[in-house]
Amino acid sequence: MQPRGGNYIMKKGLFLLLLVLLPLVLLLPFSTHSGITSAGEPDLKSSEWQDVIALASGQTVHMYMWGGNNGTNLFIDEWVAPRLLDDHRITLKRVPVTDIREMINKVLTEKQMKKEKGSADILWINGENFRLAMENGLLWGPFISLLPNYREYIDPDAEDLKYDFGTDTQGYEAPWGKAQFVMIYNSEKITEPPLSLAELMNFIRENPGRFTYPSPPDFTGSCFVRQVLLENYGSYGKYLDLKAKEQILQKKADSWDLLNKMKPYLWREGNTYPDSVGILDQLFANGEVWFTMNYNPLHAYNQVRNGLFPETTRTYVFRSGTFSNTHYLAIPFNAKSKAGAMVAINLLLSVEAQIEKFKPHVWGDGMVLDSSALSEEQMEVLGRIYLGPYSLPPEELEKSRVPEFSSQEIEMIEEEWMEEVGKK
Amino acid sequence: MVVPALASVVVLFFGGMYHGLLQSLGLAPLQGDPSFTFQYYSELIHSQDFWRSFFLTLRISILSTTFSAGTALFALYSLFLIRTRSTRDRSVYFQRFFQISMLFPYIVAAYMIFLMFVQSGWVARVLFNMGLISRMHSFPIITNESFGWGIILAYVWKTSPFIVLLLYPVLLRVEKGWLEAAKVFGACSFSAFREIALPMMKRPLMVASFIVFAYTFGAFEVPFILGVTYPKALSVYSYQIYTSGDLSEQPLAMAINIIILLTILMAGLITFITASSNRNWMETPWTDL
Repeated sequence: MQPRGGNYIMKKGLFLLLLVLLPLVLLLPFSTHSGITSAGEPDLKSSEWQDVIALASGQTVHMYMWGGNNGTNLFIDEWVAPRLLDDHRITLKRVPVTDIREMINKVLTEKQMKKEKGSADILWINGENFRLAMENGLLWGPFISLLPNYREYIDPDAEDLKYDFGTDTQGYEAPWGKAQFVMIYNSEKITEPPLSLAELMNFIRENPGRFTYPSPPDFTGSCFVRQVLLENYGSYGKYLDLKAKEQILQKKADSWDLLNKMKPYLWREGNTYPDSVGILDQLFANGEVWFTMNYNPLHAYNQVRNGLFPETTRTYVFRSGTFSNTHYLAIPFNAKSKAGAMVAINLLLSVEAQIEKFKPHVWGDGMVLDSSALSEEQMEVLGRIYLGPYSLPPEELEKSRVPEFSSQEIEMIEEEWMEEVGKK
Repeated sequence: MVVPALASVVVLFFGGMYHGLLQSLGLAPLQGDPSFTFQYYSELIHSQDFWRSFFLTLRISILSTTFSAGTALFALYSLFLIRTRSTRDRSVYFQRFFQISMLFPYIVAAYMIFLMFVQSGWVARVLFNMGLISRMHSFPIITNESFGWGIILAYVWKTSPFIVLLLYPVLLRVEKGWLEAAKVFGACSFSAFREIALPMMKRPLMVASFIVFAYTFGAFEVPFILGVTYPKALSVYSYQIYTSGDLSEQPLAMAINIIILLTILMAGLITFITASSNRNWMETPWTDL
């Protein structure tokens, strides 16, 4: 009896397994050709927004994001998640990661294993990670033009949204927020801040020792050096056109030359540079230098509020514009709840969510909205967010945004700076 | 009971070193095929940047160790006086007081030195307000200059209490009777310290100095905060290559780390040989640490 019983159970198990596998096998050839995805959803890319919303109802969306900022986490958990649940019956689960690169690797493995139901629905990415994801076909899209809030409030031609560290986004990631490089100065010492390199050069000649920048590869110092290159290139568009290598090299040589000419008038006569922007901030707070700089446009406001910077601190941007980088939201190719992810991203691009996120006490992250698309009422709400005289309002920043160089280019510039300027 | 702790130390510490060694020899590349090579070491040996960093680090470590040992001996002499001059031994409280700076992490120490001694720092402001210097900028440049005074200052502040801590127990072994005997022969306090306490301390002092040297030669945070852009201390140089270069340069950073390790091992060997060759005429049961 014993062997027969075992055999019977085995056969029954095998039968059940076949029963489960058969429909899957049958579905497989159709899923790639018909409008039905493997998850049994209609093709979202040709659906009406109403249908997407209907489909999203009841879904659970897993949002994988860097978890290192408390303000960001609270914004997602306490502002975004309850709204999604109340309005669309979508459960948003925030999954914190220390580096989103881990998640890119995971999705890559899922793709190699041909796993159709992935673990992530939304990824918060930009730059190198986006480039990697695109090169390996890890993202689902293009989807951003399907989002009503994208169509209504975001300028599709804005260079700084369209190019993510030099990579064309092609609609595979939705801009969510941005940071922008700003110069910070002490208005007690400086009445007219120098708006161009030439003016800066004149200023530091007359006031030696009052200016310096963090040495690359510090993130902020590296950006200041790129600002110098940018002004020598003329404009970002020209830079993209400068295919001729010789021209670029000449412009670069000019920039190193200029930075070397600055040296004798820098803090400590350029014999050393602050190794991090934190040190530069401290020198600025002590009054030893009159300028500092930051990639967070609200830095001055925050530091005045923290009591580190003097009340006379002000922010400005160069006439030729300052670098800004955008961070984005993308949907992996194998997301389980694509409709839910789209509705969630659409909410994150809404005016309310963008304004909430911009408030300095919430997160202070820059908005991606085109301010000319906002109503007067919305502009008024925005205007009421107090940044003091310390930081610039978003419309001022928006006028002078320039997209970032590619990440490989940035690395090269940092190494060359060390050879051509740092060591000399 | 010891096994889990020991295992994690062995795996993480020696495992990391072993992996670093493999990487520096081209045996564990992140991309491409492994092949044994001394290419990275020869690249370093022929690089002027490397040697400037190496000698800067060596100079800073030797000076830090020397000044630290000097400061510690001065403190120990003071403790010796406190101990011998009064009937109740209060030196133990003062000894505790000397340990305060050991409570701070090195990174805090480095940042404190920066805040105090930068040209617009606390010290400069106090001197300026007292009228001792006419301009803030006439305060000497101590932090972030190419000699490394700021780094040395931070290390001396942090490590001299450590030497005191290791040597103080030796001081306690000096018995009152010996001092009485020394006085009979006409020795003053200083010569009593020199003739009795110092020889007893010699070997522990060498060991403690070696530990200080080993730490200061390989440490990262103090030269990172108080160093200059160029040349950088070896650890900072290695870190910079590791983080900002492309992946193919990582073996170079590992090779620097291995060289740091070898230098420290060499210093350890020299300490060991000198200490044991002194052993014959120094051999006394209480000098064993």
